[in-house]
Amino acid sequence: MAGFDIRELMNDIEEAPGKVWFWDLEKAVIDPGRCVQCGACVAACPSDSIGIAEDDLPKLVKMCTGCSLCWDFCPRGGMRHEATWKLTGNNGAAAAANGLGRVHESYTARVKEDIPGVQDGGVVSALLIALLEAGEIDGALVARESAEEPWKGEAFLARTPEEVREAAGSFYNQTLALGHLDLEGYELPPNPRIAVVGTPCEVEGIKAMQARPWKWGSSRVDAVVLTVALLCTKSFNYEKLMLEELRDRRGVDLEEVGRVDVIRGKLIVQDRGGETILEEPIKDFHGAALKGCDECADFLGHAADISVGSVGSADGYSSVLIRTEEGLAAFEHVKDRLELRPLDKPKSLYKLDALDKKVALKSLKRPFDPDAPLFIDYEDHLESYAGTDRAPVDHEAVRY
Amino acid sequence: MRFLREGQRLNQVEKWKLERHPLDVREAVLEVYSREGVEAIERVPGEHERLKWVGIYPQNQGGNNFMQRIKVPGGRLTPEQAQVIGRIARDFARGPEPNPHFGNNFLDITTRQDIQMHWIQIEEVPEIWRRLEEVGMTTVQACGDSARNVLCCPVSGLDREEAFDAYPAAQAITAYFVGNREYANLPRKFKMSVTGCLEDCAQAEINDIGMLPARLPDGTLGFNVRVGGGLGDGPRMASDIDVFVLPEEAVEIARGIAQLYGELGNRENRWINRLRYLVQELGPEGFREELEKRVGIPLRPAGEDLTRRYRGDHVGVHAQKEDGLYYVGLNVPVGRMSGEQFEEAGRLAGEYGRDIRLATDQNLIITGVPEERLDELLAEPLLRRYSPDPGPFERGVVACTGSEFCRFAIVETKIRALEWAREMDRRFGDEIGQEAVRMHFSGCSASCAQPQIADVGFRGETAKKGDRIVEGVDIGLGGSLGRDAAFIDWVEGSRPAEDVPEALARIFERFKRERRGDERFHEWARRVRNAELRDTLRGTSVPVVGVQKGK
Repeated sequence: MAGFDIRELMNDIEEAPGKVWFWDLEKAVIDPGRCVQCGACVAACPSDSIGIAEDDLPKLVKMCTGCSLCWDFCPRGGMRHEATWKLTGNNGAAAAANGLGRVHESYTARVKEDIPGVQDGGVVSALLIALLEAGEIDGALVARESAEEPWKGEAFLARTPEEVREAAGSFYNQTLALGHLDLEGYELPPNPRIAVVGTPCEVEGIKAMQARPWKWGSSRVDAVVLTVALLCTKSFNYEKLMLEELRDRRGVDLEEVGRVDVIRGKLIVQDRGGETILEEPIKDFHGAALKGCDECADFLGHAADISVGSVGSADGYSSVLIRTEEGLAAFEHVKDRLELRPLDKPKSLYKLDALDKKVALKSLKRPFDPDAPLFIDYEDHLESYAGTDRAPVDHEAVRY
Repeated sequence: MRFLREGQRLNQVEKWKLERHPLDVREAVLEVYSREGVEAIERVPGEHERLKWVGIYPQNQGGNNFMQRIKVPGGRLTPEQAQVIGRIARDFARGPEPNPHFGNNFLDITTRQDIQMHWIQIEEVPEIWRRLEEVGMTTVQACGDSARNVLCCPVSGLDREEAFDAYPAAQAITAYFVGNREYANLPRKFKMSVTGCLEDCAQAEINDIGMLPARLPDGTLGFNVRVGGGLGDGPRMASDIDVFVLPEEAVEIARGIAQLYGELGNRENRWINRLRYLVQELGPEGFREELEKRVGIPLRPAGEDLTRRYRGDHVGVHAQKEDGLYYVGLNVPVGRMSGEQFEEAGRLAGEYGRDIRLATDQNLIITGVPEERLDELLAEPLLRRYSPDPGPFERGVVACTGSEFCRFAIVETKIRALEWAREMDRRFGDEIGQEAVRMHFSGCSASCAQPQIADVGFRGETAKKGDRIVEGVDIGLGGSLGRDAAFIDWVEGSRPAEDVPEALARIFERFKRERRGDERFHEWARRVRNAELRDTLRGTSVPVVGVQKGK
């Protein structure tokens, strides 16, 4: 016999209503393959009991104290992800409808001075470099390529413009970024100010935690002063996408890859010389996507201070949506380094947002409601998800 | 020790323990860390874990702030030992800011008859150990994956009713395991209890090993052995494995069980690897079979169980076996005293009586007081502060360390528990109709305050209040040990802490109204349906008396 279910055989204690343990999160989110690897549970755990396993999923590393916070801040569990949109001043109903949500300013943008390796217009890299140079932030949590695994993104705190340049470009796997908010291993001033560049789900988690202050263990949620969401309809499992699909099935030598991009519905892989070695509809790779991403209706990153992505602008440019006062103040530092113009194709954003929401509403097994309370009780989740293809597993998976 | 459990991968802690024996940390503290500071500890992977083998835990403040636990086998201290401990707290347990209620330089009596103190700096540890060792005390294996403090009835040798004095057995077990390298690397903590009293004062039901007084048909006295009890987030009442041992065999049976646990216990998943999980897997019969292979004594069938009831505390003035002598149980709410006060308790024990005993309800007993000196002792200022005649709620209150120091606790416990107890005493103390109402407050699911065996158990939780996350508790009702031993049911979840006093008031009001004769609180709570109790705690319904327990 193995697994946490053995506890239930040892006594007939009635558990407290609403009690949630990490293993409940495992059963409802991780084991059914719904985890989007944002790391919110790792960040939220006040006793630092949740770490990251070798399979890049959250796992228990110390005693679970039963505080429920891992559940409360999981965007596929107890956190109603669309309810975070109000935290940046969005009108819930308006954000739920087709539109960009709350935006102070929007641009199509590109760096004036080229930064090698950037993904589209280089706006995010330029912004972080400008903020570091101005002393506005002490570091930026970004993704950079793993030293061991080619084209695998890993969380990294860039503390200098040079480190930002080195980390330029996008990866299509999740890095459990919020699991690295302890900022461990980085030399920083006593009260560091950090920017986080991540997927909308990662930003939702940060904003939700900041709106409900608590003692987050070693996680420096308080240190995050700026969030930049990368427009995102889905993220991928590294092994499935890069190794199984590209390397094994299509013979792509990952060591030779210079760039990977998802643009206009296609996955494009280029070699180091800029030659395209693979161009294929992204739908061919949907099997490698994270299942939990289907349930997300936040392609546009409504909870972020700034949203950035390629959709809605010409090739080589980025679309920029500035959503908050903090975003505006930060963007001031980089404006003079960018070519700016009104958004090229806002309709492309509306269109993809509508498609993303359509998939989400179909995949979500609970009502979608940005005006509903932020937290969802475990029992309510069970009521919505039981009997569906996203139901909590009833077997006992042991990943320890 | 061989690891015989099949198909397991060793977890990280197991790997650390194999890299260097955890008992070696003592030398490292003396030779390196106390001289070079905490940075030297950080440089050694797994060293924070190994420090537990000398009773040292990091506090949640981090840095050079540690909790030091002192082992007190059977809870027994000489006056001199008590004074040394008090002085250590006075000299070293000083925080940067005083606790708003308890001030500074305090110590905590624990539910394992240990002493804990906080704000210890690593460079102070050698001097603390020197002072302790001078009076025959140790911190070795007060924590860590090995034999913890051996519990014994705190009034063993004094109790008029006891079957026999089990303290020598507790001492012998302690002596065998402390510093024993072969048995100092078990899968997890290993908790033993031994008693010869008839009142389950050593809480056999919730220990890994519980030895309870028993008698063979020919009149021979010894212990019946129970295994696999415990609380935490997987509570289990201990299993009777149908084994009787003589007091002189207690060490061998404990050793054999430790060997069985060390060989077959789960070294992969630390969250389901206490001995009780192994007992659950093997079953009592299977466990007995495995034990038989490992001990050098024949396993006799259990004798007549002599346990009669669960007493729970020794507060008050009680006659000892010896004519004319008394023991005086002081009530130390939530177990916290200043070092100075503890030193004073040691002085009083020396002046008026014989020794100090620590009890599992975090209280303190002064023994051997002649009748003619009782009034004088009772008039001492310390006994006015820690009264032998407290209100029922202050008498029954127990609390863990809580978030003040513990890295796991979700909420503050000690001050809250004390304030709630005092408020309940003010409102219901004279009308509740029982000497003690046990309210136990654990700051998290680890159950260090043993909430599952309390009349009212609290378990720290987060709670939602409007748009805020606030400190809260799960509330359980109806636990006890003894002849009707049963754990609480967690009747209510995530109540904001500030709402608790009124919720308690509603429950005790209802108990007063519905109580039948001498019915005790836990009996009433078991009789009433949980849904109704929940409604009462929430204040959402007119109470209706249930006729049977219902889920």
